Amino acid sequence: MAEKMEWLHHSIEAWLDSESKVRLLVFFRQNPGLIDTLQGLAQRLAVPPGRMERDVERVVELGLVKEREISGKKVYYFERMRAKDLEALMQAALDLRREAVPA
Amino acid sequence: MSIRTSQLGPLESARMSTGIHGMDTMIGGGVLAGDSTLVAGSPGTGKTTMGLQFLAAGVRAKEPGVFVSFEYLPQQIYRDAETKGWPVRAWEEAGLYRLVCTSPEVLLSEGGEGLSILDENLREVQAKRLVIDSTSQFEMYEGGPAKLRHELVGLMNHLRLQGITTFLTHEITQIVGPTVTVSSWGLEFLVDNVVMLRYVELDGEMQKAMNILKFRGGDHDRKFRVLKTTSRGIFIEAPFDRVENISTGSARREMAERLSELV
Repeated sequence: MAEKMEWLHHSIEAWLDSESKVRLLVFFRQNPGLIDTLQGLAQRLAVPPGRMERDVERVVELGLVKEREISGKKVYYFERMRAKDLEALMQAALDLRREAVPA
Repeated sequence: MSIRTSQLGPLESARMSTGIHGMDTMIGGGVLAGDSTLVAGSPGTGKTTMGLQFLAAGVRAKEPGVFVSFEYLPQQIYRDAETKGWPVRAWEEAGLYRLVCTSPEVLLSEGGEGLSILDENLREVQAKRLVIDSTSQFEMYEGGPAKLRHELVGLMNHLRLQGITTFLTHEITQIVGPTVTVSSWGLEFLVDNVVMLRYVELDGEMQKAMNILKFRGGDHDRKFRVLKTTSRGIFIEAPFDRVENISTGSARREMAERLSELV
């Protein structure tokens, strides 16, 4: 149990360590068919591209979002195979938050 | 867009139901498999719903489909489809449906193995039907109108050779008016069928009319018919009765009808 909790904390720290990254992941989860450039994503989320670049790189490193080059442009899309992992982790993060903040 | 000889099959001639209540009977049972249909209309006339309905009919007929959106986010389309009773998320999970949201440039550009993003998605669900919503976004294509037209001719041929039946929506900016321009780059000439959706001002209210302008699959109903958008999708109903000037958007009852009201 302790090991599982440790893994959970570690994953939450790695995956959901900033509000902007959480927002990006939730956006991809809600829109799994989205395929767009960094500029396109930034426009859709109303965030300056420069502010979003690092978050996009991180979610690609974590394997939640895929990157590929099409006609010289990098495009990003959600890794549908990881949807369940992401959902489970988000639920766990919400549960932990509820435990931390007593009603 | 590259075409591989292994992808080439015989041109299809079977009819495919559009799933749009009342439309199939106007066109002899459905569109010809592999043909392209342009659904052009003013904002809010039901173009996107028609596209969703066409793919829903495909799912019921075990003909998987791909919906490409340039404007709406998938979450908006899931919501709108689900209110009509089409569980698009569940169909995606079952591998019968694919919703793609991107830009025209990304959609048509070649990725790995000479396949475009569109090709990959069509292949992954073994699609028989495709909706592109909306081709108005192609007007912002970086290569200009001549290159765009060339690309679209290639795309239409490519889809036809793969036996994929396509609905393309296109926005007409005029709400009502005596003249209507479908597209500045002749999209209506590149497709097999053209369906027009229009607002008609009649008896003090805005009604919707549907008319088939062009249909390659044989004779077709040429009447302006009443279009109703309901919680179960679009219904094409009876022709406008004793009404003239529908194509101008400002329809009026025929003279005899008006006289009978006066007497």
